[in-house]
Amino acid sequence: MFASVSDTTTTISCDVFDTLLHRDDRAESSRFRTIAELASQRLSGEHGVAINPRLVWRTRICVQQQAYRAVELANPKGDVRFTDLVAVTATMLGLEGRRAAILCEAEIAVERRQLRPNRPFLAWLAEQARMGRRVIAASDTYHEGATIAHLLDTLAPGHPVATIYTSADLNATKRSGALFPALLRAEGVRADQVVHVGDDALADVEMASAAGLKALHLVRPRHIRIRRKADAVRARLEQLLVHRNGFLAGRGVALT
Amino acid sequence: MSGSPTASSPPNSEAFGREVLGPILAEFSLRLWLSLRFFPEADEATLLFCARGGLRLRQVYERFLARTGLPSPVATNSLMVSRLVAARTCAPASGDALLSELGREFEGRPMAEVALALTQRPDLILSSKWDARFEPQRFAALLAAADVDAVAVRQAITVQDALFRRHLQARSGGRRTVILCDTGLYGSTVRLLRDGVPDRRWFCLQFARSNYKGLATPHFDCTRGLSIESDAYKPWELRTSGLRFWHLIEAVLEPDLPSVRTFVEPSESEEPRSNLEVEGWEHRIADDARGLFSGVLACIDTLDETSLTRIDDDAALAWRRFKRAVVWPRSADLATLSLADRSRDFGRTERVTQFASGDVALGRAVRIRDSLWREGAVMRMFPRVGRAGLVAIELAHTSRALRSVYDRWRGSETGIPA
Repeated sequence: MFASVSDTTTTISCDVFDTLLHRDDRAESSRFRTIAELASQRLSGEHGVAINPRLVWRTRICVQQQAYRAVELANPKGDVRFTDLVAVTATMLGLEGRRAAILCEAEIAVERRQLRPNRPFLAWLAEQARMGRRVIAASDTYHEGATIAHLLDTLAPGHPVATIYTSADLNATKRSGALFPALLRAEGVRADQVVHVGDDALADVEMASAAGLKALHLVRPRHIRIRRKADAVRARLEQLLVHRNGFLAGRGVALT
Repeated sequence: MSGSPTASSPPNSEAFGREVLGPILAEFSLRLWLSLRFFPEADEATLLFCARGGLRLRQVYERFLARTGLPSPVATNSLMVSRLVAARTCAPASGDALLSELGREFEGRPMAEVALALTQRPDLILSSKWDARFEPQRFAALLAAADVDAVAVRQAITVQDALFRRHLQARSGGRRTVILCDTGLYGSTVRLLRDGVPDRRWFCLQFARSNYKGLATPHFDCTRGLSIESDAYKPWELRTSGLRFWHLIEAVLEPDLPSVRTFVEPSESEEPRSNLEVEGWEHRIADDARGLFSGVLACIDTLDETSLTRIDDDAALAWRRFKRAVVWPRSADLATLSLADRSRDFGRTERVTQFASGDVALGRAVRIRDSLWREGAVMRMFPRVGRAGLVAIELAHTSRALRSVYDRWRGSETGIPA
């Protein structure tokens, strides 16, 4: 079901989110809300700290927006790191130590819950690995490789991915084209020996091709993409309404 | 924040500063901190607040950090700079940045006036060639000539520029990455400095970024508007109402100190000193007879470490109130937001007034058009029926903004820039 690769191909590189691991039809903003709800529950249940989940949600979004604006300004080819995002979100919410760690754990827990392995693709990759090809993953994400490895190990045990390259680790993104040369250097292979597979037309196809890799476009079904866009619009409207009303339920952090 | 805007607030300047401008500048401070916290290789950068508006921004920001307990992610200092000083850094080469800035400032004026602004040397007597009206290429040729006049002008510029470069070196601690912080809008200073001092990496974080005159924007890749980022007022975007009365923001943030024009060298071992640094200048930064800036500081003083998550909401309310006061002013707003005359700067002494006056024959429409705050001018001239005028202005802006959105959409559809 996937394109055959030429004999000269030694390495299969693949994107992670929406390629190896499928996200559901929820938009990022909705995912952050679920994360915020889980974090608030745990903070309340385990530490007696009552923080409105909307506050956690809004703070996380605000921090991420400003972080990406800063990186885009000073190093448009680089990426933000998850540890920094969580550290700043925790600072703004007045959380330290174990309480701050809950923000991080909630995020990974929700990722695990909302991701599904792309089994047909994983089976094809396993076959390629059996044929002697090296399988690696390349992701534009603020997560470090170890986190992606943890998600893969949990959701797709026995997966054939040997090494994971993330834009946060390399400080180089696929969408800017900077990740691919770094990946080739690290792997010690020529571009024409690598096939890259992914769902993003710019990052995985255009930029991979520009770097000399053979690129394969693996697109999610149209209905998923439409539902996700609709969810993003709904979340945005909700955010605007909350802003417009100028209040948050339980405005302010009530630390107990 | 106790400075949160409420509908029943008293209509005076201090209250407007505390309840409206305070939350807006608290939001700016938080965004500035976040930008710096995520700035790549921040330990190799210096944040330099640009005179004059930046000096008050620095006070607000540092007080914000002190109140909220957030640590400064980068080394911070003040930079005595102005567009005039920045222009001198590119003067010998006369590149696009310099010539377009001079062309904008001195359109129709004699080139001798430009030379006087750049040199600040009224004792230089220039030949009649310099009396011609400013033309960019002609000015570049005059400046590059080998005659006595050109040599004298270049020498005067070079002497001042060398002093500024020493000042920059001292203030940046020798770091190669410089992040300027300024009020805005177009970002001429960073555009000129990037051209004139290319051995450093330049960035600029402004309160507002706006290409309001539709000029070339090669420096927008290194410039951000943290509170406002739009080329025009859009009625559906609250914060763009800041562009309807930009001079209010500038007036609040600019202390009563002279614009930087010249530097002197106390001794070879000492850092050059600018004309702004008059006796007691540091105390004059916060001096505020009108009360708007005092109100801002009073608002910041109410913050603490638990306020960080409320800043966004307080600012959202404050922007609504700002828009109402600026776009739909009432008589109390006219009194609260009346400003003193402002200097034109760029080495000149002329001043501009908030509300155009003078020749009655010009007509009221022209005087409204030439005012720094048109909505205020409408209500001032037509206190009884002015609301209808405001509706007409708002409709005109809505129509223009919608047309611009449509043109951009068509441009993206057809691939032809709008």
